[in-house]
Amino acid sequence: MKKIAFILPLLAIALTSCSEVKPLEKMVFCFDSIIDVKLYDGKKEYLDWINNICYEYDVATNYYAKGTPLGIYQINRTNDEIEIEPDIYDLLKYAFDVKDQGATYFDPMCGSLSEKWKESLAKKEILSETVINEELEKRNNSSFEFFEDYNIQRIGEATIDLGGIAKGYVLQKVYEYLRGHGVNKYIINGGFSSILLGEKNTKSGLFTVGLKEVKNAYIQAKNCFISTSSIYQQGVEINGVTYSHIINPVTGSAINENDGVIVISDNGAYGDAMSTSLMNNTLDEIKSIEQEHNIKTIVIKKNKIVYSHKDIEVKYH
Amino acid sequence: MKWNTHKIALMGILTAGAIIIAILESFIPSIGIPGVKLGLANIVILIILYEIGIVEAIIVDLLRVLMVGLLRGTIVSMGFLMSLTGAVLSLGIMILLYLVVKKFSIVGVSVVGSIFHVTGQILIAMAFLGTPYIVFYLPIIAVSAIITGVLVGIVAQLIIRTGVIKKQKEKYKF
Amino acid sequence: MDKKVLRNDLILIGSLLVLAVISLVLVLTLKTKKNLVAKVYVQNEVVEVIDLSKKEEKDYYVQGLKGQVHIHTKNGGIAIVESNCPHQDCVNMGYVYETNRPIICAYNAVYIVIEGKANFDVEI
Repeated sequence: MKKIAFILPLLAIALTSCSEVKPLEKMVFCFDSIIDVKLYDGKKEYLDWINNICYEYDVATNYYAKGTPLGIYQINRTNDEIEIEPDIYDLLKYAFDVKDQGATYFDPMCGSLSEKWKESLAKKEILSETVINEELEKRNNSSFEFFEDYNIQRIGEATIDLGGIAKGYVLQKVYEYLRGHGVNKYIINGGFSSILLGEKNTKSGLFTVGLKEVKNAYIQAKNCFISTSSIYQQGVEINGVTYSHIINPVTGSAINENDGVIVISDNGAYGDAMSTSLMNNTLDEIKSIEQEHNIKTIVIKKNKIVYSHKDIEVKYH
Repeated sequence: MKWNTHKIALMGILTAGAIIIAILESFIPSIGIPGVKLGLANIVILIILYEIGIVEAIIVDLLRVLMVGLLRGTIVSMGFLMSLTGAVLSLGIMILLYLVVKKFSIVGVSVVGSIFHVTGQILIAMAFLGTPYIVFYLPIIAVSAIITGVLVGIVAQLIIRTGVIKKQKEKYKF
Repeated sequence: MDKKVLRNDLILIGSLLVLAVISLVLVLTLKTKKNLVAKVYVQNEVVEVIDLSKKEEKDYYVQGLKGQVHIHTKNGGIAIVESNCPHQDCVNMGYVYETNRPIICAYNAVYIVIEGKANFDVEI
């Protein structure tokens, strides 16, 4: 009797500790937030690679600080034709091309419009129509040219802001790297807006993803990118209306058609761009974009799910 | 089974006793689940069951539940139904054990009766409030029911041993 | 008393007691300790979810079946402080800080349950 009583707890401890393999983990500080990397298989050096690539793109796309050797900061201050790093060239090209893939309301050249809205909302003021129109005019009179040998040229006064796509683009790079090294079990949490899911180290491999904005709601997913945009994160309420940091590039407005959009896709950059863009599409438009471009979405209005793709099962606890 | 004036008088006293015990007991706050009571009135019920008769025990128990409900104002409430169900289940099992399964003493019968008593109460509480959470209090209530059952059984046994009821039965022939 | 009957009694009471004590120990020890959340139910529907890990001191007023129930949180615990029920069992329970100890006001069909916060891998 005493022997059994002694063995049982030891057995219990042994069993519980076996099922929990400690993942390789690293917190990468970049893009003004933290990317939490958890690898359930793989080597420690992968973490270093991931850290470096995040740092590289962070520095290059930072709107407010100089990049090394050349980043968005410098690009936004010259109209000369200049040569840039291939990585940044590819990112910029993708950001401008994504419009042709259904990203109607995504425009990488709305930097100064976004900036003006941010300053205004920080003072709890609505940006005036005059300024909005000036900015839209500025944008219409600007363009971005891509040449051979990684040369680019910014034309006009409008500035580039890659905030809505950079993180997703980096996660895409991380995904390709991990896949190339045979790593399948991981979760790269780029904060609320961009998440890369591999498989969890459980039988089903599914991760439980909670939806902060909808009471008690969650989904289960694996092997995909999840990109989110919402007004609840950095929204400012003025006179009962919420103004977000997602600016409609066509109208210049900070009021969005939807309150939140979650995009599940197989490309991180595309997912990020679309989660921003779809904030201003109607449900019908979203449904046809889903079909045409092979993504799945969840659309949220007033903290309720107004639409979710038929293959997504939203659960409540 | 004869019902003469003396018997009626005795039954009246015993019923009153059961009611008073039950009312006093209802002032003790219940642990966690509102309405779950110790069941001390069972002392009287057990005595009647063992010394007088089954039918008499049933009558007194039901009267007890009804009168306490009326006097405490809980009639037609979850509390009353809890009491009733508890009494029915507890008395049912005690009669079964007393009559058919004659393997346990009055203490054993009392413990089982006590457990069935709180089980009946908890079942009604669960039905009214919706399950899962009430279950958490079951263990502590079960322990308390067992202890109470033992005490009630012992007290009933002691009273029976004094022969008070037996003497009444012989003297007044019922 | 008959020895056989006494033995039967002891076996019966003994085994019942063991069962009850084991389940009591389980209920007391198997509980989530961190990240607690209190869910307030009125007639089986969740009307309020309160994050107890924030340790806020706050008042909540919930409409129960027969009247208003006043709930108060303090230091990570929660209690019903006022209720129009006759027995006041719920008020007498005082502050609860752990899981597995629901506060029940049967009169108003209000109950408060403390649970661990749902375990998400990530939240978006």
